[in-house]
Amino acid sequence: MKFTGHVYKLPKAGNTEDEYEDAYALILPHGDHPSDDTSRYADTLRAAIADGATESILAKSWAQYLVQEYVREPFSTVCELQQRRISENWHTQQRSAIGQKPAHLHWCLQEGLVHGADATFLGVSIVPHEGRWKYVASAVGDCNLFHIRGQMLLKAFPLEKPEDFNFTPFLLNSRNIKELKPNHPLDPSSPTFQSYEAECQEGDELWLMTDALACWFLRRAAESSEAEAIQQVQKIYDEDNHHAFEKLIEKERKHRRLRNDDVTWMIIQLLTDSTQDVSSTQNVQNIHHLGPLNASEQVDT
Amino acid sequence: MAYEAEISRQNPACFVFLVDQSGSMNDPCPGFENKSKAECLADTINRILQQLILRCSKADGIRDYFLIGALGYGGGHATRALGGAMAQYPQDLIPISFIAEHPIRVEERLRRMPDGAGGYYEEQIKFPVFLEPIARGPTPMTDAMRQTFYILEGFCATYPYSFPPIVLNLTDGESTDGDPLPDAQSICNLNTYDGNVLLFNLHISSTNAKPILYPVSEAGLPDDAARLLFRMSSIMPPLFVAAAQERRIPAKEGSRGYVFNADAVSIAQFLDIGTRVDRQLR
Repeated sequence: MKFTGHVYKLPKAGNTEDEYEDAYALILPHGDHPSDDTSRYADTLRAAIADGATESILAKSWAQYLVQEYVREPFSTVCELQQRRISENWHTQQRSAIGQKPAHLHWCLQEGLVHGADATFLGVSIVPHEGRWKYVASAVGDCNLFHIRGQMLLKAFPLEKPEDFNFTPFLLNSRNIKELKPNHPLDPSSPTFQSYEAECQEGDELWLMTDALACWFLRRAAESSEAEAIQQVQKIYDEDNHHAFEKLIEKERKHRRLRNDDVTWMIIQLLTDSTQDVSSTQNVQNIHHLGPLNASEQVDT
Repeated sequence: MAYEAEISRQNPACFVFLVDQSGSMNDPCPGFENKSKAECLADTINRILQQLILRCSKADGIRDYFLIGALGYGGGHATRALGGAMAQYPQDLIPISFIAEHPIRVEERLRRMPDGAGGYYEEQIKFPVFLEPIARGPTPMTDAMRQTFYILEGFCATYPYSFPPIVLNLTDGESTDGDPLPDAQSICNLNTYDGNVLLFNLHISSTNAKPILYPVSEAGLPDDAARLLFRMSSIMPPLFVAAAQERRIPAKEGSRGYVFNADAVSIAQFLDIGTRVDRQLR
């Protein structure tokens, strides 16, 4: 099996590219430089997206940290996050960075760290499974996965209907994670991971979308038909048309069918081994690079 | 639909705090150990300003999503309530970034935090002070309302597409400079394209009487002063009703933005609910 990954993203209308607060990361299995990835996940595709909450101060950094940690080593429970001291490590990094910021921001950044940063999160791994392939998804909040086969939507996860999206999704708060006691009954309002796994096959696509776009897509599918909604967006990457993506988002925002929010759309295609490569393979370091924003990025292996 | 405008730097939201600084604010505040009402209000407003600043803070700086006005009324007439460099700011409405960068001072305080296992621990925090407790003289609430009208008339003309301004009036008594109702009504008649200006009122108790929270009618209010503040208060849009309900406070459709006999807890809740516009933040 071969995989390709594309990412399309746009900041909120009115914001600059630097102010985009979603994050994504992707590592494809093996690739041309297998020595770059010697972990036990070397034969696993790992993809993640996260959406930093607008009202928390260091949300962008927290969202980026979460996706990078996931593609390094997938996690699906709060306990795993604790064992890896993900929250502590991030807080330590942030605290040491405060000194480099202007002095008038210090109280604010320190107070921000006391409250912690919030993000929704979705991680997806594709792993070999009894001679076939399966994907395993873990989510907190309303970043959504769509399993597409041809013109059919096989699965939407964790949310299935447009009305499931609201303004109060579960969030991964950096501080709460640190403070939850592994043996202490979790507060019902604490974030908990939802998980789902299913087989996937050649020709399938997995789409990872942050909330505004995911909600829009499900509404389109409910109002017209799944096939029509899928076709409309598939056209964009079939033609690898960056401008088409931007135009679609702008139009849907203008007509208030799409909430004005950062949008991220990662497409993972499962291809037959005989598929011709159309672009050069990037090594692992570059694949999960979170660099300057372009309308889309593409990686193949 | 009203009260749905996005809050952005191009179309900021506006909060005006009207703070009773009359002599009676020296009296003890129910529910706030060893502190006067003036100290309780100052602490709570300082804390809510911190929260507003944090909502606008990013790692690279403060985004001006909010413009803040604050008038204190005690003594002869209403004057600016925020101190230090903020008192000298050339406009009545101050960008949130300026406030963040110019606290009067930053104190070191101790805060009790839950430890996640049913206990508490204390941690040292930095507490910026923007507003000092003041209590002196009579209660010129009508002057405060009139000044607020002119400030917000300017805001609505400058930012016609903004989320409508929200005025939060906190008092422990009755106006001593005439009937504030006509000016309050003038404030509420101002509007942006997204709806009318909102005026929420809070009456601070002098006793341990049970607070009356966000009533839908005057029935049950004990006196004319309480009924006057009720009439001065806007009906809460659904956004704020939802914010109250999320805090398990029994607001409902038709509730007025009004709390009578507030103690320290309901003062903090009132300010939290009245500034809960996160959903509109872009």
